[in-house]
Amino acid sequence: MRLFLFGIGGTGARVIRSLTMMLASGINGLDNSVEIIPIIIDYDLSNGDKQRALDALRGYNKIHSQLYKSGEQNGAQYADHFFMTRLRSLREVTGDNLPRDYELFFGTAGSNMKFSDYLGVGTLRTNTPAKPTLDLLTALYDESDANDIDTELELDLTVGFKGHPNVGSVVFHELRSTNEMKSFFGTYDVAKGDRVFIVSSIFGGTGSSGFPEIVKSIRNHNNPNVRNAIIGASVVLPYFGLSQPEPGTGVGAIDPGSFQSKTVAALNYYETSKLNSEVDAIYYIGDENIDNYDYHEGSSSQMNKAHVAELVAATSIVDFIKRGVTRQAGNAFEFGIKEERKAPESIKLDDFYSGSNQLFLDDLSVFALAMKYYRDVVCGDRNQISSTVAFYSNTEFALAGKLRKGVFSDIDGFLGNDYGHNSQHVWGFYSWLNEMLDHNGHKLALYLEESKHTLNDFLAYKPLKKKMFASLPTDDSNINSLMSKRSAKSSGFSDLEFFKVLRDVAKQVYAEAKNYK
Amino acid sequence: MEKIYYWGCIGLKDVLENGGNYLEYLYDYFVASPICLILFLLSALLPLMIAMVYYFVGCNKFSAVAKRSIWFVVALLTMAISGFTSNFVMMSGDNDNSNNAKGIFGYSYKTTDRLVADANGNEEQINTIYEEADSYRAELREHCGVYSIVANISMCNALYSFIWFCLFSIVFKRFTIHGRAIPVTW
Repeated sequence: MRLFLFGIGGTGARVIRSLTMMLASGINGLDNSVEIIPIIIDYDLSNGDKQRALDALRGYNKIHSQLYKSGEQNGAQYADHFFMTRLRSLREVTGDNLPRDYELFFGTAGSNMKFSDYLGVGTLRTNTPAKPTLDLLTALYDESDANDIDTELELDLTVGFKGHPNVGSVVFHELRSTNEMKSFFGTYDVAKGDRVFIVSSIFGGTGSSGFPEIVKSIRNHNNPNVRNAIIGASVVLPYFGLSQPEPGTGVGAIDPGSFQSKTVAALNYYETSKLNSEVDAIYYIGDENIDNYDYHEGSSSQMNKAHVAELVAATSIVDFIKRGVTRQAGNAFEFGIKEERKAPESIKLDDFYSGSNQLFLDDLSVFALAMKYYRDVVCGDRNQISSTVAFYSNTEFALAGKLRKGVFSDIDGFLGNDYGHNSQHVWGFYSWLNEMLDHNGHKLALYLEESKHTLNDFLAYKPLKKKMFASLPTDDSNINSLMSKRSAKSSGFSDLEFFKVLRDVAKQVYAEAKNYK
Repeated sequence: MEKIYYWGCIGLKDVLENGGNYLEYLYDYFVASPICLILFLLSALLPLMIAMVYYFVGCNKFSAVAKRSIWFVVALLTMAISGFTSNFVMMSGDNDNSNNAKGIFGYSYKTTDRLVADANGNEEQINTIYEEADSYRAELREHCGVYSIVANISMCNALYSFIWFCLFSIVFKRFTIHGRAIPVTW
């Protein structure tokens, strides 16, 4: 099945980044027959969050291609592997000549366009018969100077709508006429099992205006195979605030104090306009424990730290696929954990319900454990394995000659070699985990992945303690032994097979670690 | 079969090819009897059993023993066991009662009896035969003189066992879980 995933605005991009990290773990049920086509929409063309999401998608796809492409061309199925879900760009799916891969090219393309320019206010001012239209615009939109925090008509659109959905909703009306949307409409077919999912925030400028526009453009399409699309949506309520702007970071056009009121207005609009009934599954995600982020109005400096709310929003996409939602309007879902954990406490693995474990968390934990063993022991960050250990040796995977090259190098990049520290524009797995821990509101502490910790300490909620005369399931020597035992059953020693062996062993070790008393 | 030990046991080669002290005794034991074949088979069977234990028990159950250092220690042990066992097989049958003696000592009594029978009652010849036999057995017991032949053959067997152990290692390792790269990766 194909899922066309629209990620609108900064929140949409960050959720897509979280989803990419989850897909890397090989979510059970999302095998390589599932194809996700991410389409990030942001009027802010140089947005830092969007760039990180794009880097994550490209990094993922590079690894997937190297491991599985040749097999897929021969019809192979991969149902229990890391990086197995297919992520493809719209232009790859349709073959259309679109300018960007995972992005809908929709912005001012470098020119400093103001909203008034977009509307052609200059022309209206010189055209006397158009005065009633001009009067209507000046009544609806604030005419303050571009440097004023209340500015709307003179808003510089280069970095998006700065939290003004009343501006975004006008601009987004052009969305349906973009080449990307035409390409989407041309390929989408509900009869073939295609689905749509839209992720956006409801308290910003881009997401709250883009979401209704996409839904309407689908439901009003003249092709019934598009019009009857199965649509899911993750509506992200406020989960962060903004500090006062530092000098030079902006005029303060984004007012965090209005996030709640915008949310109420948008939710009311979705209900009264019957938009909710046009969507087959709506997932409401939010966090009352608000963190204040540094103020940025957009562009490359907007790189918000990953947040557990975005992880939860990403799980809604997984749930939508696995749940098999049909064309029944009005399904609404929320997400909860067992215990409220406010900083300095952290949310840990055992705070999630078993449903979350089955949905995605077990797979994510297995991936994190596998990658820690890979980095710590196989690559030697902490305890370099001997070259004569069977699976590592030249008689089998011959890893000494492969590490830091090819797909191994790409996976190192995906993880982030420096464990997410001391780098700019980091997008990788370790950075993502670190960011979710670094909050004043809700902190998420799942794993202790750095090399200073052994695998016995890996589960943040449950460091394993050695008993007398017994080894731990997470001891390096035990995992080495399991890897050799498992590889003895391998029919070949390709890179794909190595990561399959690694996954199988990690699953066994994780299950034992979870149940260890 | 005795020729397989000539390279490491020059003394035996010299005596058997050119003549020398105790020729009859050495011929009867190392050429006419199957001892060299037995010793050579021993040099193969011991490492076979040790390699099977090391690989199919050790390297299948305990990843900790699948190391080159441990393999090397096992190989040295195999050599030592083979050498001592070979020496024991040859030397352990010493007994003053000729009917109970075995090994090289047992054969020495048989050789003595044969030589005495061939002497046809010649007292002087018979005395010489008995003196030579006593001297032969004394050198063996005191680990000097002719004993060096026994020692050298034992060392040859130890080396053969090491070679057999290496060959069995290469054959067996691929059938184990943890020992597949021990001692070599090919």
